[in-house]
Amino acid sequence: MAVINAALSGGGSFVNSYMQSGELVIVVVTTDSNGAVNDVSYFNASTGQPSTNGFGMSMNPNADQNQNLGAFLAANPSIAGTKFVNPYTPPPSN
Amino acid sequence: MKKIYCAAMLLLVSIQLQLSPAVAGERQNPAASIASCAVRTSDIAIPMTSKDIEDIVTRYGTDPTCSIRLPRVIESIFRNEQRNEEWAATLERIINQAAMSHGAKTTGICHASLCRYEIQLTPSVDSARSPHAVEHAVIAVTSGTPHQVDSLQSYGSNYRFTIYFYSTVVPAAFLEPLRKEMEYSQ
Repeated sequence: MAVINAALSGGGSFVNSYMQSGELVIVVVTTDSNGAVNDVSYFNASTGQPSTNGFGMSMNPNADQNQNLGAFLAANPSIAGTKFVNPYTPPPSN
Repeated sequence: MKKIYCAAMLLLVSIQLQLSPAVAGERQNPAASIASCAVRTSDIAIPMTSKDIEDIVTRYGTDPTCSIRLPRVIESIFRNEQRNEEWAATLERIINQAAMSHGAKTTGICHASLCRYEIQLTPSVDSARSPHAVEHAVIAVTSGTPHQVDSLQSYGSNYRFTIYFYSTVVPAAFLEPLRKEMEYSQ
C-alpha cells in the first residue's frame, strides 16, 4: 500500500475502483497545487503496486478539460461511473 | 485400413483449412484476441486541437474495456512509425535532460509522433511521492510548442516502467491508426 499512500499524499484527489481481468483496480486521479488534473494512476488493490492492466497517464494540466477535476471526470465518465468503494478525503490544506 | 487412414487424413486437412484463416488473422492483428473497446470517438470526426487528441487518448486510457487493449496497440503503432529527425531529436534531448535532472536512468527513442522510453528511478521518498516527475517536466517544457506531448505509462515495477510520450499537436501521426485499431479492428 506504500505506493498508493504516496500517490495520495502527493495530491490524490479522486479514488475509485473496479474489477478488471480478475484484479481489483484502484484508480487515483492526482491534481497539482492549482487543482488541475495531471495524472491518472491504476493500482492493484491486493498488492498496492501499480496495475499491469492498461496504462497510467500524465497529461498537460493546462489543457481545458484538465483545469478542474469536475470537468475532467465529466469528460471521462468511465472513471466516475464505476462503483465507488473507497472514497478519499484529501487532508485539510494549511 | 487404407480407407480409415484416408478418412483420417481428410479430416485433418479439413480441420487445418478451417483453423488457418483464424490463426493467420490473429498473427496479423495481435490485439484481436483482446476484449472489445467500448469507447467511440465519432463525435470528434476530425481532430482539430491538442485537446481533441488528448481527449481521445484519455477516453481509451480511462475506460476499462479499452485500457487493457491500449498498450499492445500503441506499441504496434510505435514500431511501424518512421522517424522524423527534427521532431524526434528535439524531444529526445528534452527527455534526456529531464531524466538527468531527476536522477533517473532512461533508454529510448522517438519516431514521428510517439516516443518509447524505459525509465528507472532511484528509490527515494521523492521518487515514491512523485514517480512521474520526469513526465511532468517534459510535458511542461514542451507545452505550447510544436513538440507538445502527454504520456502513458506501462508498469514493470514501482521504480521501473515504460513511458510512451505522444504528440498532442495536430496532425499527430499515431492518432488515426490508434482510432482504427481501438474502434474498428475488433
